[in-house]
Amino acid sequence: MRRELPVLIAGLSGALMVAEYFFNVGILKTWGLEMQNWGVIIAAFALGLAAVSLIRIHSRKMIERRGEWYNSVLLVGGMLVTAVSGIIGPDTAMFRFIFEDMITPLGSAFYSMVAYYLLSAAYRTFRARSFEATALLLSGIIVMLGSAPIGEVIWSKFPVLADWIMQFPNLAGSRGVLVGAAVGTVGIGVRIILGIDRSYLGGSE
Amino acid sequence: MKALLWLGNVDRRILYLLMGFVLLVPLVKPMGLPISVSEYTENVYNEIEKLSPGDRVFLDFNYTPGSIAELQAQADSITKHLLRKGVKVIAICFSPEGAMIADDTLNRIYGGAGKVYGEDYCHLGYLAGGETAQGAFIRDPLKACPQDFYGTPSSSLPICKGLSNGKDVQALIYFTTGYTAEWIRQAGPLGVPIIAGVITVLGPAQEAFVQSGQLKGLLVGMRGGAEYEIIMDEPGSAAAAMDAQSLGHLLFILFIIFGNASYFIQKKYGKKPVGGGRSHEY
Amino acid sequence: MSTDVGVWVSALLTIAAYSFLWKENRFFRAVEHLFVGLGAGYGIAMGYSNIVSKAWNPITKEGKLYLLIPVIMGVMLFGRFVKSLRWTSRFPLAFIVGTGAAIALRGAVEQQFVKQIQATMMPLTSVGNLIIVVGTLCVMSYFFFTFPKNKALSSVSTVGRWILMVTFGAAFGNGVMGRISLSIGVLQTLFGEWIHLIK
Repeated sequence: MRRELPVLIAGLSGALMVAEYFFNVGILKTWGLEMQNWGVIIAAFALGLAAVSLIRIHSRKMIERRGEWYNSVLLVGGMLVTAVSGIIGPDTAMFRFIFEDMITPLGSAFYSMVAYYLLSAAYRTFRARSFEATALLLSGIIVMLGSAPIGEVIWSKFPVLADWIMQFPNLAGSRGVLVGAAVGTVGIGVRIILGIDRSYLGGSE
Repeated sequence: MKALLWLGNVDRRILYLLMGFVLLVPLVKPMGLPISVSEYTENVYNEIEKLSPGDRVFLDFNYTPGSIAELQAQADSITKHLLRKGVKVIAICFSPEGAMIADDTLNRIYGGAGKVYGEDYCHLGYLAGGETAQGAFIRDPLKACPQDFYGTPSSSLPICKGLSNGKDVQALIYFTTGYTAEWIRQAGPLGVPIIAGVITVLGPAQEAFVQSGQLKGLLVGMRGGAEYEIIMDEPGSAAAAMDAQSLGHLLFILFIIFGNASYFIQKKYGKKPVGGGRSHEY
Repeated sequence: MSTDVGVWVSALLTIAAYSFLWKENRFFRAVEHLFVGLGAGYGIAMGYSNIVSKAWNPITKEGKLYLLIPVIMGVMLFGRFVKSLRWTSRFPLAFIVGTGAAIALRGAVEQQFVKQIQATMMPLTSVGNLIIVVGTLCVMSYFFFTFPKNKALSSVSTVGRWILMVTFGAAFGNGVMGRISLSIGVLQTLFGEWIHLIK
């Protein structure tokens, strides 16, 4: 029952959502919308999962004074202060300060560092060793030059070439991938609803 | 030849410093390279120009602070355009951080222009659940968001009067780091005109939706933001960054060429070439 | 230089994060942990406001007791942290996976499949249209992995692979552009708001 019942829940909820979309029946539409709102509520609880997991791991580190346990103090302390100030209200000065002057600059810094890694990685490993690699490299270079103002200064046709690449071969490629992804989405959806795909159940109990 | 070989094996920290320098110099001393406005940006502008005063639009701020540099200029410029047109804005977010970004953007632009919260604009906050939440919202926004971001009942806000589903707004505009087709799947069947502002890496994949007409307009990355600032005649941080963007691209291309040149020379002369395979030092 | 405490805090945190580019160090590890903690705390705050507005208030103020079902399911998610209760987290997961998969599926059929194929049906009157139609078919043929391809199909899928390489090249170029934009944003903050070098 611990495995069969969840599979039944997934199948029934999925089948209901599909049925209410394709059949214009009042009660189905009402329940479909209600179930979507239930999904929102459950997802809201899921936001706390990461926090509980982090507290479990890092509180153990703090108690045992293992490794750089003071970083764990920073982590748990930061989490609690942010959570409490956010729960009091998103308008509070503390919450705004944490978001604008701590989360935002750190998020920007971590994401932007990838540019430097990209430069180093491309410099060391991006080699035009085959026809396909050369096609990839050339198309990337043309798109980069076509999108930056300096490309137009170097050669007025770079933006035209870049637009052509985006609107024709790139369009064909992304459309092919999109349609393939749509087929895959339908396939996985049907497998989940029919109970064939049970990967979300995790390990055996 | 030795120089080329050396250029193919520069320490990564020198590369990083060079990149930082090359990006910083044009920010301090702008070169003034001309920025042309693309057809895509003009399409977005024209779509928003079609809106009338009093129309309502949904604005979805679905990005994180990590992508503010790419998307904030787009969000600011489009919000200012909506303000100019007298359009009413209903903000909603499906990423947690987007809620604070939306709060800041709307208060700065609409609030700063003396517009009244609840009448001219409102912020319905963050809705957890991804595409499930998007589907629930577009079908019945007030049921999905019974309270706004500040705890006020949404149904009591004048701007939300008569808002029963997505057909009651004249456009849905979203700024995203992560959507590929979610809004198109959820709002497309309702016939809501959709305009997208995406990060640069998502641009190529959205091309298919622009060509099929499922997206009425598309802005891509910081360049899209810069072009919209130009078309609005209010150049800002994105337009100022284009010179740095240009030099950054040039540096990238130059070092890829150096790396390849060094590789082929080493290969030709029988030495073990650097790169082209596994490299553990990035 | 700025005298705003917030600007100084953000600048110092940014520099600590960027110090990783030189070498991994304790300052970077500290801000890394701090960022994870702040993000988790922010998530708790947002989750709390969702639960209050969408479950607690309707249950307590409007008497919508049926909403106790998703609340109980949400609490069951935390069963994964107790060994004997791990099985309880499968129920809410199954609900989310079932509804989510169905929501994506039904939208994908019309919007991603039918409409995209409709948009590909264009007159072959120009080189561009030819590239789009033939290119899309070639790319789709590349993804046939469940049966051996004959010579004709292999050639077609090879063309599809070349087109995919151009697509990935465009994606790579765009990826580079995007990350450079983010770096510019950080520099604008550091040298504009903090040091006032950028006017």
